[in-house]
Amino acid sequence: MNSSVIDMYKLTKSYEGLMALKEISMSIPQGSIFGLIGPNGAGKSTLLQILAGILLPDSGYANILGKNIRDLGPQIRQELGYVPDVPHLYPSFTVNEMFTLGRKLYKNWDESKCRSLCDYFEIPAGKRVRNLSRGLKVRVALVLALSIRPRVLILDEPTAGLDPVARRAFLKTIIDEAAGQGTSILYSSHNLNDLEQTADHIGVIKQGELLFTSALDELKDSVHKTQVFFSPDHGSARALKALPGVIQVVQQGKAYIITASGDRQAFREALWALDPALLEPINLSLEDVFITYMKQEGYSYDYTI
Amino acid sequence: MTIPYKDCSLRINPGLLWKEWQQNRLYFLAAFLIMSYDTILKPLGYGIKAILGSATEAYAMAGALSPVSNVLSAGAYHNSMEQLGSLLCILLGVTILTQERSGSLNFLLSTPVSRKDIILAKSCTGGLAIILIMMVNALFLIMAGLIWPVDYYAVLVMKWALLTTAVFIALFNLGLMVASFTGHWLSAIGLSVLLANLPSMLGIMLINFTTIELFNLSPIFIHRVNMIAHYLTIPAYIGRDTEYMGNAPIATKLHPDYPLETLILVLLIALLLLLAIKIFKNNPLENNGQMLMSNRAAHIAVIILALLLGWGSALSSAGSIAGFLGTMVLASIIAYLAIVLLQSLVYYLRGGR
Repeated sequence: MNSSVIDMYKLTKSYEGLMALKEISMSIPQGSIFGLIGPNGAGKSTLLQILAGILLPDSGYANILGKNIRDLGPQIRQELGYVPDVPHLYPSFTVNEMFTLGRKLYKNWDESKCRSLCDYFEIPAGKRVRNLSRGLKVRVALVLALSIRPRVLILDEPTAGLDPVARRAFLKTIIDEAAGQGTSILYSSHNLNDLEQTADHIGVIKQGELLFTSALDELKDSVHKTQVFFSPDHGSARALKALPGVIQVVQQGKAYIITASGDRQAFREALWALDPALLEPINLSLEDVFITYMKQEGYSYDYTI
Repeated sequence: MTIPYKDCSLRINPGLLWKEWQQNRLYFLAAFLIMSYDTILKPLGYGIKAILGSATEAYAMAGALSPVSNVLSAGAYHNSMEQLGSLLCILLGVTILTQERSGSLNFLLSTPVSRKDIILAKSCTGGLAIILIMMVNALFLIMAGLIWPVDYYAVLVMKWALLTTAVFIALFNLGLMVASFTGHWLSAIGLSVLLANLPSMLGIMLINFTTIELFNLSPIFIHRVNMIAHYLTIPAYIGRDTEYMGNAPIATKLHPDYPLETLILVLLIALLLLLAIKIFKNNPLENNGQMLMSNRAAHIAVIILALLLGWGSALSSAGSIAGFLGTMVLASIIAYLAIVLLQSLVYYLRGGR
């Protein structure tokens, strides 16, 4: 049995000569919540639109549930939910009419789930789509996508227009969906805090190229941050940058914050060898890891006022 | 680029049919009201007056139906149905697809429907709406013919309705087909109008040039060219009168062969639909995959429209090639400036949006 629901191989797409995706190859494990992160214009939305069947790739292939996306018939689409960053629903339709359309198009439409999600997200069913706020449109799109009982759910920056309360409800819903229904979720977001709470796998994409994919725990283990203090006039601070795996050394008052990759234990031993007055590990968030990797790839905003 | 997904069935998705009707019913209603002004609304007004007031109004109603009578008896070509119907059907065909370009197409493409399903549902909804509009019109005309003293027969009404319906559906599918590769609705309308009338225009141009002594063509040749041009021009199938170029009469078909012409149009409808499906299937749907999608599209459409208007204006002064070309260039420039001025006016009236 194939353990991945989406497989991509050398997926390439360009717009008017500009490469949006360069030979992307990766797999999305079955039942996982896969977070896709990357700077603006990295190609995340293009990738998700190709997987959702909206755009066609120039070359390469992608399989969803074992079917090539170029040959993705209505059968597979019955099991594929998609929520774009800006949901373009039919403005003249009421929310109820949008759900009626969903009911007519999807064989697996779950009416009771639709109603309960509607209540949960406090969606005004009688209102016309054109009169909904962006946040409400996102919620309607999510209800539509979840009511079809999808095996694969593709979410493109879905929490961008949501207030904190709605965002939390949204995240809880997709975690429940993955845990309860076994739905595999591919989820792009700039909000790394959200991804850290929900995703179990991460893929980082920059300028159309996939930098790496990793299980979230492994990724967070791969980079570590340590705070060290030296006694005055110690003179060893300069040696910090020469330690194996050091990515960045930042001085904050008397403390040095060191970000490094590689074997955590070996690094600590090397640090102790410099005879610091105090050494303590710092918890690293996904955002720290992401920024660290982006810095390694030459993407950062360093400025002096 | 081709999509290997093969689906040769012609099954129409009922969900999409419902969606198209729900989304476009107001457009269809507006088209019905505009197209039926001379055939239903105006005579009905007289009919109501007749019921409420003097008996002579009934004869006024019969008079109100005279443009219809003229059309049916191979005469004039001026009632709201035939004058505006052609343009409205192109407009509906273009609108039904280009309205999805604002983003809802992305939603639709992510649902379990194929691109073929989308075009097929749009074509069917438009076709059914046109059939409904024409059926209501035909039934009213037949009923009116039974009640009031009009000079047409029910059989003639049915033949006329059949041929006109086929013309309108063909024009609808032409608009849909052109919209499947043009991103901007204005460029789609300009190109559709041009394609619909191009053979007739070329025929007229040839006849114009023969008025110059340099081209000494026989009248039989001119007549044949004209007939071919008319058989290739979709709106010409509902034109029954003799047209004039300056003072030169252009003989058109006065007694249409209803079964043959309807058959030709049905084949054309199928061809346009297949083309629309094929093009839409292969359209990558982003900016570089859509002809006339950029902002220049509107500009190109304006130029096409100005040239068409210039062409029309020049027809009356086609005594010589110099006169024809001179008038056409001048009229096209004036038309271009007028449209740009109008565009700017609309732009500012909308608050610069």
